[in-house]
Amino acid sequence: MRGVNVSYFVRRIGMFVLVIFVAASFNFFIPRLAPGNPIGAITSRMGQASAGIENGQAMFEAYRQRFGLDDPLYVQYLKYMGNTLRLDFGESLSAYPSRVWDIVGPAIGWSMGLIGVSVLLTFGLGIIIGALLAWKGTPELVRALLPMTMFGGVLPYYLLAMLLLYIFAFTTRLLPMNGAFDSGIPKGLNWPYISNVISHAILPASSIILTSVGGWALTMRSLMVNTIGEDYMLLAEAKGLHRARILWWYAVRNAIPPQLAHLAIALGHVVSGAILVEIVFSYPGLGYQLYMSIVNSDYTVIQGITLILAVSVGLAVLLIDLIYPRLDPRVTYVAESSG
Amino acid sequence: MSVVRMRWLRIMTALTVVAVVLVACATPAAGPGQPAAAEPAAATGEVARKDILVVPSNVNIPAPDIWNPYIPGTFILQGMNQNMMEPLFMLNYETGNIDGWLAESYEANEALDEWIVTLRPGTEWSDGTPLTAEDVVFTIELLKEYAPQLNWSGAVQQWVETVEAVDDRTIKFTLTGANPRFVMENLAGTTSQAIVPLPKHIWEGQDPVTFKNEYDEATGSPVFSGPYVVKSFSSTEFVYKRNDNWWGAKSGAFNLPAPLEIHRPWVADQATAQQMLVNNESDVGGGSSPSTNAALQAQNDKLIAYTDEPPLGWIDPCPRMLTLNSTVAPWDKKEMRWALSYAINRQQIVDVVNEGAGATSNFIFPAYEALRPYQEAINDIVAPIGEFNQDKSRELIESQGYTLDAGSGKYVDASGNPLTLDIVLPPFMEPWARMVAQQLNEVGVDAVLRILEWGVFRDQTGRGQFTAATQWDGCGSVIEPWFGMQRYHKKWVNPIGTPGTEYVDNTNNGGRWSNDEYSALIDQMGALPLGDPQVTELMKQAVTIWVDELPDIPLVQTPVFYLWNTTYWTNWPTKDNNYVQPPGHWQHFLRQLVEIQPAQ
Repeated sequence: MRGVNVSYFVRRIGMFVLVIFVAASFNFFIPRLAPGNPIGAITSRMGQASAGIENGQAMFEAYRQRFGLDDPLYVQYLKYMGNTLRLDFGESLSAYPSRVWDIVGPAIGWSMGLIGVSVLLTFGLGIIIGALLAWKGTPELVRALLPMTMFGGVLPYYLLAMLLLYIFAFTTRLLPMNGAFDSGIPKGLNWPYISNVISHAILPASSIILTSVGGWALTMRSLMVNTIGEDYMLLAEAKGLHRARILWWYAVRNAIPPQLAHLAIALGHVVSGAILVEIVFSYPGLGYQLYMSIVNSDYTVIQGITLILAVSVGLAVLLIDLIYPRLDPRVTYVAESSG
Repeated sequence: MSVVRMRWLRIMTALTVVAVVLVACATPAAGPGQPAAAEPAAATGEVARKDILVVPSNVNIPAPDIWNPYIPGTFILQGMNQNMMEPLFMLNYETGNIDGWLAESYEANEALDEWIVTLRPGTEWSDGTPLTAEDVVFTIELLKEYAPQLNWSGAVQQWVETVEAVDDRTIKFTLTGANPRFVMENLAGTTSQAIVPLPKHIWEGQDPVTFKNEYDEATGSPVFSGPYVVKSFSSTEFVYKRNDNWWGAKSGAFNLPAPLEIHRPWVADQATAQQMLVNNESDVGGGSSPSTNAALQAQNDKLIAYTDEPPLGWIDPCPRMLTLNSTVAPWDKKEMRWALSYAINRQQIVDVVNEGAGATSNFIFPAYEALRPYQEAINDIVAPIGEFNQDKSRELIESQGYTLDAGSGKYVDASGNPLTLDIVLPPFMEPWARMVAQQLNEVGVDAVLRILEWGVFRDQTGRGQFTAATQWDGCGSVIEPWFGMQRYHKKWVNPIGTPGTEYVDNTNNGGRWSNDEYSALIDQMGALPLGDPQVTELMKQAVTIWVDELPDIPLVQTPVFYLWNTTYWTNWPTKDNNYVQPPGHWQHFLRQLVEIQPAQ
């Protein structure tokens, strides 16, 4: 592969494995340092359901034993690492006897759909807006309007989400208020269902896009300013190339690579979802499940989600690292031979 | 064409498509209060909105395909408790009666250790199999066998010696000892749930600790006996369809519920849930205060409240309390607990936090009609608890060696340490707790709040690892005094660090108060039949001890502000039409289902 040799590749993979190992270990110990305990959360929910619990202590001990929480910590850790290697996160403590994958699996799809698409759209819009803001040939009217896209950046997700809800769902009722699809609609790969899902995603996606597009645009504008000052830009103009070609092919293309690294990390975080947005819009993503698992001290679900998060971020960074020399020929991890 | 340009074209094309979809998917506008336009019919397939009952839920259920109500921690409030499972009896707070549901009657022997329960004729499971005494016996024996791993198994193990089917409709319970409240507590349920029978033909041979009782369209699973069965479900919504062959209607015991379907969508945000009610997209909900309810009703005149007159809401069975840990100094002294009680202006809490709704509370009883005779019998005894008197409060604090520090305005002990009170609370208790802390600070107690997540709060208070907590530890009595009062029995006191015994979201005797004389009186009360005249006298003696010691500080009654939408459904359980208590998440909702009527 251009710019990457075997030695670098092996070192990079080794680093990835080490990062995942450390993350998995933190993942095991940190929830156990927090106050609260999972069995207490279970009996608490029994109380909410008003089930009779005359035998609290006996039940507590029975389930501690069933979940292996009475084992010494090192035994729990070794079991956990062994299971993690097999991608087996075990049973959920708060939704027993469901397995962690039963909970995490469906939520990943919704998060990737909503947050993934939102991040990609934000990226695309940020690139375009940033490029146009830096480009001298941009019409004045467009240049005056584009900074308005930054307004959303001053609002937190949550507040903008409430505002959008009020305008488009509460008042005008143009879009659905909550959920991922309408009540009772048959699920399947058909247009009524797909369009319904899209219509439910518009408001949560908009709240994410509008609050973060400004950041991408500002970064892109800075990168563009540097790029526009390069000699090859002057040469392109001197050659009489079309201005649009100079903008998109010479300036934007060379300004994008640093943004791609940022995009890789942002996409890696997709699986963690956007907790507040998911709560406001009752969207069944992974962020909300992570929040609930923390509230319920559901160690196994916390471990499952955070490990997926660590792996996805690590993998995204690894991939961008390895393909970066392909994207930007100026970058190479191969030492130049002397002489 | 270059690769990069192709990528950009793809991105731009995708953006355009999304923009077109955004416009195409927009639905026509309708004003608040107008019947939800075409979208619900389209969204719900064949059933029209007017035939659907929509009840939003604030709980997302991560693993929705578990229909085993006896696994600890299983969510049952997604409709399993309200539409599908049926109890043998139902405790009606409004009438004070134990109404029959699956069963029609019960009787006990004189020693109160043998109980005969008779099922109604014609009871059936949703798959058409007869529901008989054998099913009830199977369920009780299952709970006994798998104790302590299942919900209710502790009670069954403690009380049921044997259970037998005398015939298809008759069950005989032989208890381990006299228990006059066996039916009320276990088979009717003093609050939201009771022991429910399971179909033996489905559960026999299953491990009830791991059996999910999953949905299966072909077999009709999960099988229960209620008037609705599962149509579809996900973590964000449960849809139930009416079982037109429901035994209750066939036998003439109850009306066939009018809604063809019940939809229970997850709505995490309360404001959204309220707006759905205004927009006629849901039928049941409510505000957090009288003013919220008024604001919602102003937007939709089809919304009705439980009552528009004082107490402006339905009174929850659990009055708010300030619980003190009796093992933590200086709150182990009754004088200090009384000092706090005198410092609290309960009427101010009612006026400000509850916006004038509800009432003050000077004991653990909710203001229910069935409890009124008992409350009246102790009014004189508990009267001092309602007294707001900052001078008396300061006097008591100073009698314990504290002096007021002029600089800080707070009391300090002989060593100069300030008199502090660390109050833990779950987030939703903050309005009450904040006002209590403010009032305590006014007399010189350095009271601070520490808001904990619910699970953490439950864990710490259950283990006794707290100094003070705002919660509702005394609730449980709704038609007779014993149940709530027995929660302060010394038998419930566990060592600090050990989880307590729970009931309705909180711990029996979480404050770990121990009094031999009080506990002995409770034992005597507990052995008497319901309504026995001696109960009142014993209660008065026990209350006298409780009031003297004040292990828990009553604050206010807890009003709940229900709103119902009459656009599609009428005959809701309002104060003037109180055929049953109104909570929508309890098993008593079954009664509402058979009573509500279509409006159109």
